[in-house]
Amino acid sequence: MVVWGLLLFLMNGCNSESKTQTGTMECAFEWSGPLYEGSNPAQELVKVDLASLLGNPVQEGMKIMKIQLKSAELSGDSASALNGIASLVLSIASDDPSLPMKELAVLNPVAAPSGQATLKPSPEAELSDFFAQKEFYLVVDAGISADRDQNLRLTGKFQWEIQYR
Amino acid sequence: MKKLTLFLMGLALSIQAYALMPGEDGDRLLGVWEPSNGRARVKVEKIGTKYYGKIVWLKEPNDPKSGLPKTDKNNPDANLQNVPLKGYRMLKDFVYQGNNQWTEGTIYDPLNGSTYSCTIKMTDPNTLDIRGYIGVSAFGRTDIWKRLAVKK
Repeated sequence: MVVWGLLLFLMNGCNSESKTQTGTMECAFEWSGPLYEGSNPAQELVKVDLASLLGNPVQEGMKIMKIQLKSAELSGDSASALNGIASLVLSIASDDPSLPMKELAVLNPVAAPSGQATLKPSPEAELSDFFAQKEFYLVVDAGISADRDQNLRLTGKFQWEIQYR
Repeated sequence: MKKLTLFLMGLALSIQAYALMPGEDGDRLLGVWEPSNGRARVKVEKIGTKYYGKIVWLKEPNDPKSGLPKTDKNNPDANLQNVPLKGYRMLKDFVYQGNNQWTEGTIYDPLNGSTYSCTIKMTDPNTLDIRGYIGVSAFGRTDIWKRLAVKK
């Protein structure tokens, strides 16, 4: 009897296979000039909306196993919007003391002249704890090579890989 | 006379409360600080409700071998070894606890790629005791950091 029970439990466990889906999110990052040579951060508060990210309603009992950044693109308003930017680093942070900030992706150096940059994501950063919060911060550090007076506005397009069951 | 005494007492209490307010403000940590070795300067900023310190100046900004700006080449995550060291957040996730102390944070040593638990104590408006440790605070090392633009 115990053996049958164990077998049924194992079969049930095997049936609840995990699924992987990608979701895309866009955020705007703004820097007010003047900007000084060196690293200049811009932060954006992201309200977590898994249903919108997955493109379907979050069902009861659904368990998020793993979330990773799959791709990260930053683009400006013009083809030369990134001129004068030497490096771009994307990080994630939370007000929750138990969640330390993580670097997610980097591009160094940024090719010039350019209006768009594709950052290289770190596959080691697992983010399900951040998405379990109501909100988190995405931070972009723009490494400016020389002082500039103008404002800077970049749009971030981030693709997340979500594993759930 | 009684009314005047009460008014003066109330006024004195209000002034005292006002004087104490800045003393309880975690934002006093914001600014540029220099560790005792003088090899770097660290700017403390706020993201959300936590405090972070990034390297804004290095005595030796370039790698002696390549001549290029230094990157975080000792980062245990190989994908992030290309992050510029100038701009790197070596202090992360500090929460103000009152009593001139910020805790819950970490300090990163770019020389060996190690991250340590860390507490910050402001001993006066221009001086910080930065204590890095592994596990228990008793087993650690304290460095004294000075504010760059001295507050009077």
